[in-house]
Amino acid sequence: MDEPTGHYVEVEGTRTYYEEIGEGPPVICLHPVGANSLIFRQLLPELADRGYRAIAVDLPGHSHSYPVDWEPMNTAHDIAEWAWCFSQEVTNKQPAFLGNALGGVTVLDLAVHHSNKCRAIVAFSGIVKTPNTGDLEWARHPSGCPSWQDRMERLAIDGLSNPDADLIAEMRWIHRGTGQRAAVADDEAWLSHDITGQLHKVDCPVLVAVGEDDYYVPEELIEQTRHELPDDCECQVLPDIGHYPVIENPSRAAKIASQFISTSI
Amino acid sequence: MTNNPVSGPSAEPLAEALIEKANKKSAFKRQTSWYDGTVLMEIGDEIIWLKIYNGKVIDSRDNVPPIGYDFKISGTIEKWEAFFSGDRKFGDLLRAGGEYYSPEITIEGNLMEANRMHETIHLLAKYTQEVVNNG
Repeated sequence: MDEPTGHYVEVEGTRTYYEEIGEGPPVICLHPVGANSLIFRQLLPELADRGYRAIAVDLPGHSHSYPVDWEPMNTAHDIAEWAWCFSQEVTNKQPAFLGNALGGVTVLDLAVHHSNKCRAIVAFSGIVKTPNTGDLEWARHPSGCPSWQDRMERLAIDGLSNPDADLIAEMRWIHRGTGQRAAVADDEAWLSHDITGQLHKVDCPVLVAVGEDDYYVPEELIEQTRHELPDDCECQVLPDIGHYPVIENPSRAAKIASQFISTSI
Repeated sequence: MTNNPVSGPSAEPLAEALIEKANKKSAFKRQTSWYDGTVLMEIGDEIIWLKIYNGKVIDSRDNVPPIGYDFKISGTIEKWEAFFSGDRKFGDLLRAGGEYYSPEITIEGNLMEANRMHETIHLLAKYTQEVVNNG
């Protein structure tokens, strides 16, 4: 099987790492809180096999990518604007965006502001508004939250629906590649996301797909998302999947995404 | 913290099996190697007080001794059973805050020590689940 190749590009003045594989319409993948491009390790070849140029980026401050101006971004909107700039650096074709969890809400924010230039948006575990559990200022430094690394790993593995030991180990290691400052900023971005009343601006096909066993996403917020999406968009609930469809079942996630994106080509 | 002794009649066999399991696990030893403290588990009416030192549980009680505890993990039997049965994830039951999550299994006491021992809390819950389900 072909493997993705790694590249660096300058985006907003910061050294940025991404991986890509395949040829065809570009699909840019954005990762969850505290993760990095490794979470798309199996999804990228699956998308490439289906005729896409599959690209996964380490968001600023994560793994191989430096933060912009040495400060992590802590809103989904800032990340979305940066992701749009990234897309303009790596392709001159109309991109599709695919995100999971934080990546999922980020691509929905991006859809509100840039969808007229996008081929399609696929938001796994992406919803119009996230359940805000409060201020995380206390967690930004080990003096307030010495267990952040353990907490991050637990948040990740408890979000999986029915993982085997290998998937648990892989999720732990993926989440060991991002430090506390960037990961807490990610969590702040997830918790503060709220684009209530803005999805009517979306001007490209959007698919929202949420795992049936995803306890981070309350049912009422899935319903609110379904209600606010324009009529030509889709909202699916995926059986036997938790918060991370792209790594829990990469083949299924690739099939769902590629079938949806292909309808827009 | 409380100094009021509280006892649970059926906690002792559960505690013995939990301690035996925890003290065999390398993950538990790794997570508690630099912990010298006490943890109270309240599983419905059952009380399990644990003294942990140098990677092992070295003492236990089915009541709260006068020295109290560093932190407490507690919930109703219904909430614990939702975890033991696999219906709910432990992390899900711990979530609290905002309009969507009210505390179901709670952590109280010295929250900084509890924070430092976050993985240990998950391990104790997991071992208890395994003991309840498999003996």
